[in-house]
Amino acid sequence: MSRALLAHGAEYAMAGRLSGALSLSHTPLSAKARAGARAIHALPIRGDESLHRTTTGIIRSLWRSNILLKHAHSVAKPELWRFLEGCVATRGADIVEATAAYPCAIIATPHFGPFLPLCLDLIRRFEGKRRLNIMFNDPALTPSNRAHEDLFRSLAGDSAGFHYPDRKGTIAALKCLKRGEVLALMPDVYFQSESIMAVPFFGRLLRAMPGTSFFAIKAGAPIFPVYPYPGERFGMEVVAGEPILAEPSGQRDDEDGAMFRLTSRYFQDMQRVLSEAPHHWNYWDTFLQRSTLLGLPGNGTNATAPQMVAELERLARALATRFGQHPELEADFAGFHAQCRAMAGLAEPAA
Amino acid sequence: MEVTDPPTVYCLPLTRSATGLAGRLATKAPIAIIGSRVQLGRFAPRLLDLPFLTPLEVARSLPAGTAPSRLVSFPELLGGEGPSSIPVIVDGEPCRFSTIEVRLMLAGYRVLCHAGRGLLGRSKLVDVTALARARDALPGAVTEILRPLRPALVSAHRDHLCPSILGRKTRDGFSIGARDHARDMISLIRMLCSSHQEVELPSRLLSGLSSLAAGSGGRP
Repeated sequence: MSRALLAHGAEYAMAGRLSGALSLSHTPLSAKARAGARAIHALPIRGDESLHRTTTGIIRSLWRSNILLKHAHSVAKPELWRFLEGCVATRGADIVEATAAYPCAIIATPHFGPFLPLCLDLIRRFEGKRRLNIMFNDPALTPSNRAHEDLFRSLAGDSAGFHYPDRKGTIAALKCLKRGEVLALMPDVYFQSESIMAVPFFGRLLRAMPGTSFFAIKAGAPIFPVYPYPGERFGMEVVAGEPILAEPSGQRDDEDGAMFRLTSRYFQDMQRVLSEAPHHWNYWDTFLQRSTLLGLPGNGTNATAPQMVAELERLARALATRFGQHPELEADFAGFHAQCRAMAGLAEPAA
Repeated sequence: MEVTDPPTVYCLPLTRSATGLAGRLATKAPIAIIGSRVQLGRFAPRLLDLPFLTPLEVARSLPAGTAPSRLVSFPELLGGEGPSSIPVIVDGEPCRFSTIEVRLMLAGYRVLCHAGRGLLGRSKLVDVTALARARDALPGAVTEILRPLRPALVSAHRDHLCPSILGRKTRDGFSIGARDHARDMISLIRMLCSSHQEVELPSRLLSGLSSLAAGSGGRP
């Protein structure tokens, strides 16, 4: 057993015991965890858990995930591969076998638990079996990605490809999928971008990038949601979900509509996972800022037509000034609004 | 405090101490909050048991004399791009604030503003009614009401519950907000058309909203 394994294993055990104490401190980690816990408690999940306990759970997950990553950075490839082989448990389908049934596939790995060690484990699992591609933000834009990219490249050699989500990287990734390769990316990443969309998530509308759905629809690839959990012992557990497939496009479909539906379905799956294990998502601290309220029950799926029309009217009031600046847009909305009110059996609104 | 006190509006910053004060005021006599339950609930869930009124509801109830005699407003959470708000320079940038507190003052309400903490850490309230009434224009009156709140508004001290909120009251903030609303409306329209197939997909409206969401105006 190497010294690194012993030291990191000991630190990992300590992280389990000291997370509660750390949650009372004033460190950037505890501040992030407290903000995340407040967001979780603003939702109808973990109602019976104290804020302190939720904060502790988040700190434990972040701390342990960081130790796993630190360990990966500190050992040579043979030792890391041995560690991943011995300390990574798989629940559900083996991701290599599951994706083998499809001409190409997308692995969706959100910022959940030890998601960077998961990428390393994917490189190991696919090595020599099928070419894997990983998409992540350019280190020029996200400097912390530099060290991870260097590690990915040094471990993968020629067995994997790496792309940034810019024009060049998007074209390259799409070509890889069309050649029958596998693409791993992080669907919950968020930048201010023109292409961003809002999808139902925990009763709110979450700003989300449509890239995962774009690749899935363009290449006809299934999306495999994969979630890594930090283990109770030094290691992690990887859970691969059922593939999410794009629906065949209907007559009244447009590409943006298909991407909205597929992205919504992916986030519904993620909501299911987070409802059961909320502590592991890295983005809770910014969740309320990157989402807006959706005033409909059940993410809109259980909403009645009058409820949907009322919500439409609420948003129209919020956009009243902009509509006033664009009379054509206001007229288009008025026509649609009238159609919706008629469908919902509502009377004409008073002038 | 007796309920026979003159009608009063308490203007508070969005800080822990001020939301705590609002909770304590509610224990003494009935009080209502001006603003959105959803918005304030994010920062001060313990105030959610109190009644909430929109600025419009308050303004409508003034001529009839049916407005609650004790009201709390959090000016940072009120005010939009419409004519019921005016720009006031805060921290060198024009930010839009609601004029509802001035309307209440003109209807006979006393305006008490939170001015930080005094001796023994107790929240300090100052009466700005006379100062605001002495100003001859609306912006001056709003500025006077905001004056005691400024230290809490402009310095992101630890007591503040959302230091970034002032940015949402600027021109850029409203522009980002409008883009978010446009995106939300696109999603809602898609959900509505998906669950009610008889509704025609409004392609032109969707592309107009997409342009608005992309920040390039209301036309593609």
